Amino acid sequence: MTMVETAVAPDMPGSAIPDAPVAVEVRDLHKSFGQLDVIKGVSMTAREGDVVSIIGSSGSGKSTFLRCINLLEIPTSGRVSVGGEEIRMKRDRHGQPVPADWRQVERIRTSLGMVFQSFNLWSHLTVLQNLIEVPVHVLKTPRAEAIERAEALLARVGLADKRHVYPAFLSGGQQQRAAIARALAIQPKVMLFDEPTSALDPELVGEVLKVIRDLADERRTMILVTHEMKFAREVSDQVIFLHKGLVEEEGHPGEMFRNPRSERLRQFLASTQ
Amino acid sequence: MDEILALLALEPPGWGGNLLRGLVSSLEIAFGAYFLGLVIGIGGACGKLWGGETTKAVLDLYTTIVRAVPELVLILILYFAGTDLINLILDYFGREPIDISGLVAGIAVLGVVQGAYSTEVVRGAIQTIPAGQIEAARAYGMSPWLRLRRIILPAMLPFAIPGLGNLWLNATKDTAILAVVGFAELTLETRQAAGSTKRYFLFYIAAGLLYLMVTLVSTYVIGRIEARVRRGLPRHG
Ligand SMILES: Nc1ncnc2c1ncn2[C@@H]1O[C@H](COP(=O)(O)OP(=O)(O)O)[C@@H](O)[C@H]1O
Ligand SMILES: [Mg+2]
Repeated sequence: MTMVETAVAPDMPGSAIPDAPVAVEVRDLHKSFGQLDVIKGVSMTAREGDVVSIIGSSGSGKSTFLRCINLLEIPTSGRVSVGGEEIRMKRDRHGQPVPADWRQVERIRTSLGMVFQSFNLWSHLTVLQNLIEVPVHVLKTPRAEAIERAEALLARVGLADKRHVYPAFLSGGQQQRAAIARALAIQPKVMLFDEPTSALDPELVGEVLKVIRDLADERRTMILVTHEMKFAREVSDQVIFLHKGLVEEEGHPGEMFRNPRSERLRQFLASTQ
Repeated sequence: MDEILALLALEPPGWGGNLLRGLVSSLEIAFGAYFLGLVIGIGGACGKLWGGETTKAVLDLYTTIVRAVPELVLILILYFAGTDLINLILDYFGREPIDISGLVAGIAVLGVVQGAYSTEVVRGAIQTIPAGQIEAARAYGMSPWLRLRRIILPAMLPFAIPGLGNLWLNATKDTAILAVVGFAELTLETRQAAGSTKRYFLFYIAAGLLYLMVTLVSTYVIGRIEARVRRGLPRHG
């Protein structure tokens, strides 16, 4: 980490390996809901191996930005590329932007492992079934292979003994660890986290952060929306501070947290102490 | 007592065989109509939830009419108007009129009625699924069809089973209405047996017991199915 700090100019967004291939690229993204402009021109580059944290107060557009990357929200304008492939857009007959090819979107989505604030495990499937659902039915992985990989992942997140349990019978922390394992099971290029610990009781936050930290340590590409400032500071290569749909400040966490340049970030950090 | 057993004997001159054949016909229609209704219901629910303006308007009209008009009237309309319409169409294309089999007509007519109620049950159940689960399916690259088949339909089942169970019980009883169009189901067979022997009380009690038996078996089976599909839900709520 110290090597990285010296390698990156203080006012430039950080990157773990500066010339690694670009994993996710967002250019001049705008998103409005009707009259409400939520994202007003945001760009981001995440290189392979990067952990990019997105911070900002509630309502600043963090979730919307993240959801535009896998087209859960359709951007009003701007460009999104994953693994060098740009998501092609067109306009429908009302002039609204829509994906030119939903198949392309579906294919790209299988390389983005999304983890939701409220877990969103499938309630009619056991933990193991949740993990093999997408590999078997979308990615066409042979079932035996999918099960083998799923069991290894469950062991890794400490849920080996829960594989035949339905999600409703797990604690929040266990559900979120299962949801992270479900995301890993598709062998994604990039992991997307939307406040993965915000719905958890405080005593369950640690077990989930530990799993995410392990992923950061093994240099997985991750884009992480979080309220856990200490955690963001420790694991991120790059931090983006969103304010009212714009990047107010971005850079290497060490720099940003030590001496924020904008008054807003200063206030925000003070309020989260 | 001997006389009663003789009247209910399976072989003629006993009428038991006729009653059982009527029961089998009733169950055949009920099964057919129920599954036709279920298919219509799933399609109708999807149309109401995700269809365009026109689709929604047509489906609203369909479910409103079926629920507003008494079933007997509706079945008479569908049965006679339906067969007339088909023969009219055949005539238009220069074909001979056909005699539509009572079984097919019965299933079609009751199925259309069942479909309207199924549409509402399935739609309500789908709306009860936590939205995040469907969103997760989208986020993981499932196509709309895969989402429906693998996530939405199985996840809505626990919420739909009570309503769908009632619809099955309705389907078994609604078959009796087909007696008015001369279909030889249980009620019509019973009427014939009772009319020929003048033992009205005996035969209607016998038929009533058969219907009760169907309901009891159905209730048991529905209970088992419900327990099975609710495995993933917490015990309360
Ligand atoms: N589907 C939606 N329809 C309308 N407004 C929305 C929708 N999603 C988010 N918003 C609005 O966009 C703004 C940003 O929301 P969000 O991205 O969830 O913020 P954050 O995740 O930073 O708390 C909020 O004002 C929110 O009300
Ligand atoms: Mg949010």
